[in-house]
Amino acid sequence: MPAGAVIIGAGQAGFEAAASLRSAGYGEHVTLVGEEPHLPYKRPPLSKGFVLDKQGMDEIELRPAAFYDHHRVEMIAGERVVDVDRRERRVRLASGRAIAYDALVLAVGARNRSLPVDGAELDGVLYLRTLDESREIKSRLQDAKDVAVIGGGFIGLELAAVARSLGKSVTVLEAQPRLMPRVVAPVISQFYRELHASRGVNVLCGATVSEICGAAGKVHSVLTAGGHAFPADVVLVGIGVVPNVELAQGMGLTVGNGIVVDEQLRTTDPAIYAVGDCADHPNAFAGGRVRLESVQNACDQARCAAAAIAGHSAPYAAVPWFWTDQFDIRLQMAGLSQRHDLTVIRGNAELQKFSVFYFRGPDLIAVDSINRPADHMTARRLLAAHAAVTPDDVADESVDLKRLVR
Amino acid sequence: MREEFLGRLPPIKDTEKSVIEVTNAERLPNSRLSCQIKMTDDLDGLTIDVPPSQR
Repeated sequence: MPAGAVIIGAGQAGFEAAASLRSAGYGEHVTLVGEEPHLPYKRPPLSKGFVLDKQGMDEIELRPAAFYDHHRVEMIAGERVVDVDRRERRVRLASGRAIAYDALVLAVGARNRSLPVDGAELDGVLYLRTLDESREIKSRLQDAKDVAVIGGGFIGLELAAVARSLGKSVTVLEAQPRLMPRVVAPVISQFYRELHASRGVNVLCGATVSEICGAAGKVHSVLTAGGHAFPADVVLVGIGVVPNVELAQGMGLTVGNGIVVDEQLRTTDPAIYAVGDCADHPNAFAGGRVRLESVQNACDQARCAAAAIAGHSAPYAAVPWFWTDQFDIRLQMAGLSQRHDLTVIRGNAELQKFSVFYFRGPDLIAVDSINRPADHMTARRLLAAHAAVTPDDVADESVDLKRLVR
Repeated sequence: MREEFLGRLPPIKDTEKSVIEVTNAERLPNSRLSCQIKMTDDLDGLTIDVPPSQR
């Protein structure tokens, strides 16, 4: 009798793998194991609408409980996998239960990087990844006056915008010389610096945190290497993540910057796939191996692995895309811009509606759009089609870019 | 969206209008983005035709 598929990790990628197995026609048993005591939910609102009470639980859960029965997905919440016997093809849970598999999907995600300074353990220093952590931040912000955000990336800036919207005095401390340095061009970094400043957020770049100070176990300020102290009754840390590779390592799978997989998202054991934040995968848009932390990557990789398990194997080739909402501004990113050598702007930065097109040699490799959703959708199609787009086409607003798709 | 429901839907906003122009399938006079339609009792029985491809 077939054992079926087991998915470890019930975040966006794990959930999508389970749902996609069914939509791909997979008829065997599907088991989804998650560490958190919740049904699978969306993480993006946790740093935005959920903290502001604009989105409730009903909008956060990926599917209602009835979905799992209806699609015969056995959802095991609040359980940890302790080891996997690859020879016997068996997963063992902390409760002692063993589950056999024919195909295993590792959707084990990533965890927050900890702030490596004295005082980081003080009460009031908070991180965000899970629903429970978001609830904690929401509750702590209620009585807070001064909020320090460490890290000027997506999570830090989204939380800064939220805290400022709640009327808090907010300081953002970014160690690099500009905001979101790993992902966007300087023109976008500058736009966001001005946006936050115009809404009253105190943004400091090139500011390295040297210590968190407190009294009676509770945080009261953040010290920088430059010798400045910033008062804070809540410190929100968003300084990146590290992939959860330990389980895979213990199983003897190859691990690099994440769990190493091939074009089909298979690990070094062909019965085992890795998808989402934890997967170190070959990606043509990156020009090599990469690990992506996004909803798009989680969903598309999960669908790709599920299709392979259901017998319709195809290489993973989806266009990467991302977004961030800060205040009333939406930034949408398509492609991976890191390797660019030229940027061209389309639209008007003063009107807060523009896109940055990134080229590498003659090739368009990425587009970041601020309040220009049609540019973003067009960019995804241009990138997927490897369309011939020139910097002149981009600079000339009378050129209809979507006509270049085919 | 089938014609009989068009009048019951919220009006199309600028953002939706710009995005719907760049979708994969050709835009029709009765095309809408499903993510902009909040289900209400009034829409009970809503019938839609989905495009052959979305990407």
